[in-house]
Amino acid sequence: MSINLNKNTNIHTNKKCRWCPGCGNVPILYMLQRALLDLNIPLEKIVIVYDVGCHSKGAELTKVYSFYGLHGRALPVAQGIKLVNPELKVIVMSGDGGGLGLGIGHLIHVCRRNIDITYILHDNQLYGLTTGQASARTEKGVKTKTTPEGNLEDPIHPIKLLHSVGCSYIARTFSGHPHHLLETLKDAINHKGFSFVDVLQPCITFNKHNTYGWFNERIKIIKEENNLHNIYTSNKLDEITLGVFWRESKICLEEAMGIGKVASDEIPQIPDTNKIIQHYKI
Amino acid sequence: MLKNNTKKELNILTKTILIGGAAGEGIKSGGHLLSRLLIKHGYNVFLYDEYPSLIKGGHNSVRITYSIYPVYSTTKLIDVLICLDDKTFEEHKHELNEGAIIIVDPKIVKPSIDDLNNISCEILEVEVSQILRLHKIHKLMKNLCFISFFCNLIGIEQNRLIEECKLVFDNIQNIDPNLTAIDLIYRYTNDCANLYKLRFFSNSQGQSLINNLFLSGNELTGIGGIEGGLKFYAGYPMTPSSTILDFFIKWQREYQIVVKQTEDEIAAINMAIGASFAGARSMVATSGGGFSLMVEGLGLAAITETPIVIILSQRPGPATGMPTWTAQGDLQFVLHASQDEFPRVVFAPTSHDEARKITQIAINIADNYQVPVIILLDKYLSESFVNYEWKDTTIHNTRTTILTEDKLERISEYKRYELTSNGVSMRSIPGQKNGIHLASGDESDEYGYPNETATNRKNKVEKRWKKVEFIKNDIPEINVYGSPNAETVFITWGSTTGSILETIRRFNTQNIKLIALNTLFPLPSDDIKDALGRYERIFCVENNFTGQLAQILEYELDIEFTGKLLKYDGRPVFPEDVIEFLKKQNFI
Ligand SMILES: Cc1ncc(C[n+]2csc(CCOP(=O)(O)OP(=O)(O)O)c2C)c(N)n1
Ligand code: SF4
Ligand SMILES: [Mg+2]
Repeated sequence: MSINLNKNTNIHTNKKCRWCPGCGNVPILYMLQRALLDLNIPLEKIVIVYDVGCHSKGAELTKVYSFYGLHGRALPVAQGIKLVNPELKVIVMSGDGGGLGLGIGHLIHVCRRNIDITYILHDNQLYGLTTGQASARTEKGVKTKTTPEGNLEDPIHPIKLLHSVGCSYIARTFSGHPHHLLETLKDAINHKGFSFVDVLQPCITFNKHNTYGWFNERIKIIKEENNLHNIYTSNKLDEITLGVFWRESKICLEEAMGIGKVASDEIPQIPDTNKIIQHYKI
Repeated sequence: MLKNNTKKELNILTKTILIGGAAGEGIKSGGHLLSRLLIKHGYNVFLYDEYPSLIKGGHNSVRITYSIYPVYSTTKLIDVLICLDDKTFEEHKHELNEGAIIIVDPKIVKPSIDDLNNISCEILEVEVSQILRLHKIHKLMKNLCFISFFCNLIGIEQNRLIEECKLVFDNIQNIDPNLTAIDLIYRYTNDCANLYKLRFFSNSQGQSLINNLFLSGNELTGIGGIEGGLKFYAGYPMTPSSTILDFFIKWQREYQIVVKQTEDEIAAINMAIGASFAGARSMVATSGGGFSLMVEGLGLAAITETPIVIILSQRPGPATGMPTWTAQGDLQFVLHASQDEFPRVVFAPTSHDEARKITQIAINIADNYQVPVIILLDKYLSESFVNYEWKDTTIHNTRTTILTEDKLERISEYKRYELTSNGVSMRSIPGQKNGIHLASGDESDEYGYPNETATNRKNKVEKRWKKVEFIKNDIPEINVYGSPNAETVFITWGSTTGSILETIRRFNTQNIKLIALNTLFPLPSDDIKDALGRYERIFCVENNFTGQLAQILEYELDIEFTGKLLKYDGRPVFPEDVIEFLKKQNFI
């Protein structure tokens, strides 16, 4: 399926795209931009936080408030932003290396908290930017730069993992299926709570195993949501299922904390300290 | 030369009580109860507790130094040793002052005079365990019994103790056993108390300090944060910083602060950076181990020019080290932490009061100059409690480099990282129209877009460093004590200040000057030079092995130190250490 690459200059900067031609990151960028426009969210109310990797080269291409942080640490930055200003739409873009390697702890804990953030995993099954080493998503047996005799470790299956830690929205989609990608992104962004979208993203330069063709032969779209069987079988390689695996409505941390927006551009006044004085008085 | 009149003054004006026992025996709460009573009777108090990193079973002690004069530190020598267990005597017998009183239950502790190294002490026995057994009172009342005896000895009336007990233990369902215990001890020990009362100074000398607060360095740090308009705090527990997290958890609703306990320190600093990017004044606190994890985040704050305040309360390390003890070993670490070079402001409050003020200043500097600010505390300052006379802050909060939507509307082409004469550029926050930008951990151009050209890199490095000269205008004044013409100069930083001040006070000398630095970067070199004036000898006092401040001053100001007092045993520098050091230098 071909994708419409018409730039919408309301949201697309005039910066040059720095991905390899044909890279699976391109459709993710365009479909995310389209989703944000379709959802009519004022652009100044959107913050995208980027991890470090090939995927984050999108940071200079999208005209919304953006923060390009440390490798593996996009999620804490995003949580800080959301917790002090729940009015913002906060989105995280991360690679499978940063997200499931260094950043895996943060991913598990944000599920427990159910902070209203959308997390988009650019899942190319290896480290792109550092030129093709194995990641926590590299299949067992697959050869990469750091696994020349085939990967000896089992991969992480994020759908199963995140379901077990209470993630309130889990979906999987594919760069090679832009329509499904667009609809999934919109749905995830609309979800109230933490939403996780695993986007299977071919890296045409380094990943000679999980190619567009390889995915196309295996992909199957599922319609039924919240079916545990689909979650249990989400790691199968002969049939790779796309769709919403889990959707659950539960209270978000920022609501439960009940403090609301504290971020502001105002000069802070010195608060009344009388309560403190009374409390610590002997 | 000074006359050695220390001992005499010490005995009359300042006393240190040490209460020791097993963890779980209520040593800490007993110490607090007694401290409050002393303050109410007009004494200034400095309470410092020492305990192992254990919840039950180890040896705990609390050192309470009290005086009718201001107390700047606790002391090494003990005037009253209250032993709830055997270990207390064993651990502290070598710290007894001449004429000390040792209070024991003869059924539990049998101190031998041979152990006392020719120091004349008196042993007062009170049969606490027997009394409790006889009257069927729970042994948890043991600490209260000892405190009752001591209160009786120094002439604190029984009803004042009862009153205080009711106040402090207002959450206890049945307070009667406490009151019975107090009553019994007062009755049993009256004769003994009458004999001793006169030996202690009468409490009519002091004015009542009834309006004082009693709180720790960490709590005052928290208060400074609230006054500075803090809106986000993230933390992961690590002694001795944990009680700052406790403080903000306690006050989050009252002062509308978002407080988050995180999964680790990396999350804490990155969350705080996110919150700050979004426009909330943000702070984190930790100790050396946690700071090690935060270092990459420190660099991120610097390159994205996101304001952040990091509190590092030091303890002996490396690794886990000695979690509940004190040190000043992290100065050089925080000055240089992170790859590459960029300015960060480093403060080290020299007193409880400065902990509060400097935290408020730090939050304003971080926000206005868009730089990371580090505040160095240590276990000794963080977890010691003092009586504190409240004065409303006179420091103003300012916010000079943040844009409003109105202002943004009038800017035709907004550059988040515009190159300016002082290195600071105006900042917009998410939600504001016309302020959209990218904040990037990659080196970036004036708009925030990644840029690796040589010219841009050079400009950005210089932009960050330009701020330093301007920050100097906003740092607090250095502390100089003693006579301007004194021939002997002490230089120190942070919490060690108190013990030197205490030494000067006791000698009542015009011949010592103390320069106590509260800002280590940017180093107030000119002020230090001015303060030094002409001197004969100069000493540096630090709670570390290598003399980290001394090295800086040797390098930056060409100072040649006559001697260095360096202590690195996990204990604070006590006034006695300073006195002994002066003796070794043939100064007294
Ligand atoms: C702390 C740290 N360690 C290592 C790196 C180097 N590094 C940059 S990107 C990357 C891996 C990227 O892989 P992934 O997250 O999957 O992103 P991709 O490039 O595949 O999109 C690594 C190891 C870094 N930037 N920071
Ligand atoms: S290396 Fe792979 S992931 Fe990176 S830009 Fe090229 S194709 Fe995309
Ligand atoms: Mg990857």
